[in-house]
Amino acid sequence: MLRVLAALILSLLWTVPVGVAIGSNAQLTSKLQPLMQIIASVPATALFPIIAIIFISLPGGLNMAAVLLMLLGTQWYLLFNIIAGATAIPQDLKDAATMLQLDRLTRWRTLILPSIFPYIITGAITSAGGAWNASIIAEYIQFRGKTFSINGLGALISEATPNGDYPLLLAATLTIILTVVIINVAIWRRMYHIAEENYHFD
Amino acid sequence: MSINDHILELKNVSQAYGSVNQRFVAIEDLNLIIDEGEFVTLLGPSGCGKSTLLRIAAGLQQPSGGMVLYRDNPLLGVNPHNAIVFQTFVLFPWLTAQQNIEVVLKTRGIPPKPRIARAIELLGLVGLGGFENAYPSELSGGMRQKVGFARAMATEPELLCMDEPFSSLDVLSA
Repeated sequence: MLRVLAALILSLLWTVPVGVAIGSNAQLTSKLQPLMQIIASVPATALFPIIAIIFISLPGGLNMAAVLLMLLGTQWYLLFNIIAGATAIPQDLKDAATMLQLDRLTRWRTLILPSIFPYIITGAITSAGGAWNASIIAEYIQFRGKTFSINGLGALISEATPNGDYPLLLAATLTIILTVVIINVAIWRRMYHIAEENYHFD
Repeated sequence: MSINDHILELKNVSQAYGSVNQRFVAIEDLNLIIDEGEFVTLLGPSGCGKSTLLRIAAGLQQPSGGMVLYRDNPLLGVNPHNAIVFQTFVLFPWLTAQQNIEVVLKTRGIPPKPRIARAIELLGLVGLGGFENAYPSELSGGMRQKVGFARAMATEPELLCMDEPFSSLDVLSA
């Protein structure tokens, strides 16, 4: 769960500034959008063996590799949503912010972040789902006859499957389902509601 | 020392859209001088370029030809002494009426206490006392437009540009 959170935060860190920069510039949007869709369509899991080989020798390597895999899977949803959000900011509202001479920080806080907030939430919900999915692959790998794993629900599922340990598999799967549902209801739905209530244009 | 008291001067301003073979000229060779204390009104049918001219005068848009002078200096970028009341009000929907005004004062480094007092005073001035904590979605079109006025006045502009500013106001409020 911490790894899912870490992947989400890391992707937010770069997708928000980059997405806003691309989305605010129509020329950049039309040039980069197709390119990024191609990059994004490379399945993250296909890259994972390479990542794993690089990181596995490092201390805490699989941990980093797992986060990186989740990151690769999640960041695109966020990026595309944020670009869409930045494109959707009405021109006259941007003009108003310019005319009022809002400084950079105020501009971000009163114009850009509230405008893209609903898009971030939508992207994050999809992303988090993808990250959970990736955790099953990322936390437990067998490589040259050796097994590497880190503690996590995903590792439990991957471990229980080949061993035929059905009670463990069932328990782990149920736990992951329950966790995701609880997080969805407790956090994401609430955030989504806030976004719908307060952060929309008329 | 300025040789005259022209606040704003537009010299041979033109604005064309589109490429060479599909050119649309919105404004052609327009000259306009606005002096201190003057009140100038632009009249014309929809789509004749009033809003475009306003955007050029405010520095939001560079004209494709000609020059904009503000107090005899060429205007590069947005004019800080100019405020616009927009046709569509454009308030930040997630801020209350008072916060919409406060944000302007805050960005100019005015501390919280006088900021709040000034915002309330401005809202009272446009007849919106008591609506400080209302969100734009809870206000009528005319009330939103008044918040737009109050916000424009908060910058204490030398030049106030208004794009159809009374479009949503009833006869009595205007």
